[in-house]
Amino acid sequence: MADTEKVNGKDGVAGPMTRREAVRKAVAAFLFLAVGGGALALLGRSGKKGTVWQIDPAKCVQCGRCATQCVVSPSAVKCFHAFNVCGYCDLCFAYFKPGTLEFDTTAEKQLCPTNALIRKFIEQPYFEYTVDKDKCVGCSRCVKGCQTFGNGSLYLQVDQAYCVNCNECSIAKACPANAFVRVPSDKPYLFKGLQPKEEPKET
Amino acid sequence: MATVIKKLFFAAMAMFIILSDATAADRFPRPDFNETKHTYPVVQHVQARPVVFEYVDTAVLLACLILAVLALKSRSRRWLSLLAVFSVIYFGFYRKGCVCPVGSLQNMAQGICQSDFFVPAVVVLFFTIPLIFALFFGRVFCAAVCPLGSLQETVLVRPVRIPAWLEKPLRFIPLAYLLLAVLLAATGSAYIICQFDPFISLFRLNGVFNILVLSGCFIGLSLFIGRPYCRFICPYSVLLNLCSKFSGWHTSITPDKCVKCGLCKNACPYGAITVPEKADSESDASSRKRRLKIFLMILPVLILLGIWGGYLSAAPLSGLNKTVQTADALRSLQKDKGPWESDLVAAFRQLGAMDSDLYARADSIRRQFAIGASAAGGFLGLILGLQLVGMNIRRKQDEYLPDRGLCFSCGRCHSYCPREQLRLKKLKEEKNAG
Repeated sequence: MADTEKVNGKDGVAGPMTRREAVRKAVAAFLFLAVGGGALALLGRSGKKGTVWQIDPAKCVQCGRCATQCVVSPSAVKCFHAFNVCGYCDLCFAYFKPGTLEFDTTAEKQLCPTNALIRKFIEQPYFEYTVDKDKCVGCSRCVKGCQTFGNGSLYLQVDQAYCVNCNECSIAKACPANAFVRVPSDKPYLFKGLQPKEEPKET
Repeated sequence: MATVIKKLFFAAMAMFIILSDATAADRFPRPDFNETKHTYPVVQHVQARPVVFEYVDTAVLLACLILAVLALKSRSRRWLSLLAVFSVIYFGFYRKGCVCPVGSLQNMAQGICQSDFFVPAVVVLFFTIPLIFALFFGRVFCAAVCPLGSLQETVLVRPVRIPAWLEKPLRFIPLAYLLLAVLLAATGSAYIICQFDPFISLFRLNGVFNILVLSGCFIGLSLFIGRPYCRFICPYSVLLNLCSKFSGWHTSITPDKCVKCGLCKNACPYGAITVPEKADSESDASSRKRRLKIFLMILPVLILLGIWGGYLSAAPLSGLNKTVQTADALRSLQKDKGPWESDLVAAFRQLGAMDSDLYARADSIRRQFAIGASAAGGFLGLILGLQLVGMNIRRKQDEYLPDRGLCFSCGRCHSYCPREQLRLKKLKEEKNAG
């Protein structure tokens, strides 16, 4: 061993290569190939296009996990409303708790736990329901009500204003219906219903 | 009782609606708003971050790593600290901690084990680039680029030394955590590294209560203990440690001759500097040899114990998998154990798949867990045994050196080494003169 030629631990800086240095180089080369090879193999599969997570409304079963499993709190999953599917009903199964007889906006009659669904009178007998995204927690109670008894105009979507686009969505891991899919990031929503002329504009 | 009645009521309503032959989209006619001429409100949806920015992030990562290498080369701890602050701001607060290389190892594990699993390019790059840098220059990523490490580095005000008897066993946690995370990710069950990341809630200024508490604890610890997460938790550190061990251009305390004053060891808050070892006396050598023999004999026992422990933990661990949970819920429902259909089962029913398919998939996942956990346990036993054996092999060393695996390349020792200070002063004078 050429220990005398060691310059402060930097083996082989000045002298011929020691055995230890040779082993180091060999292992380093092996690790380099392993890491690089693994990366290249996966890169070939991943493609150049960016993706984001989205909920397929056709698969969603409104289990309520979106409200609890998201890494962002409150959840980045929000309720979306397809207005042109909505019946503008007075008795809205998404708005009122089952068994409600008087249709007013008092809190105890509302299904929404955070008062995020807003009811507005338009004309007799129609009411418009809009979602306050900042209040919505994505619990899907209204979605379930609308889906079961109404037109199904309310549905859950991952709102890109709130989503931090984790490398792996923690709700997707918990979703019992495998409704979370990766979609191209230039078309991040899976809109429901007859999709409108009022396609989302870039903001 | 009330819930039963409510459920029956709902069921009756549902039956009525189904029988009335209405599909979900047109149970109620759309209004025409004759009176008010009301139009549908236009909702503007926020678009996703364009993909270009993912490559910008990668470029920033690359630039930061190169800057860290240059800062170390010029022996400037000030530049390293500034870079660390930038990393905390950019990768932490601006990018909200995502994508981070620590968590990306789970995507890599799942991507390698499941051929149909999609791993975004940016995730692969974030995983690979720091490792490649570690192979050449040591853990420069930890030094000032990783937002988690940089944050702990920045808040460390009064380092307390951890005794060796405590530190050495604690250093095994990252490996165990890595094996567990890889097992859970590779089977598609959970991403625990991301779930229990203690600093992410700070970066996002938001999070659930338990994680906020965890966050607070870790930041409190980091004030007094140097990088508690990096040293005793971080699973990615195992890979960086391995790569860094074989790095060619790792930073040195001083290229000058060591005078063995030991100041660098006192200055290192991470216990990453190894001390010179003298030649053994005769009795020391023989006792060392005896211990070596004992540990070599224990090694296979440790491996077997690891395999056994892993095999035992496979069943509870597989309970974290969604498919296994659904299969269990369905099975207990069919045995009349469960009072109500759980939402997992309800969701499964809505998918309309066969029960036997679900059972088969759950069984195959359980098998994966049994094999994976046994292998991981055995590997942990092997490494533990090798570490014990290694403790009894004497390495001749006649100066203070950074342990290339454990060193975070923070650059503290440079300014504490008297030889290095002299050398830098001389360099400066020469520069001024010339």
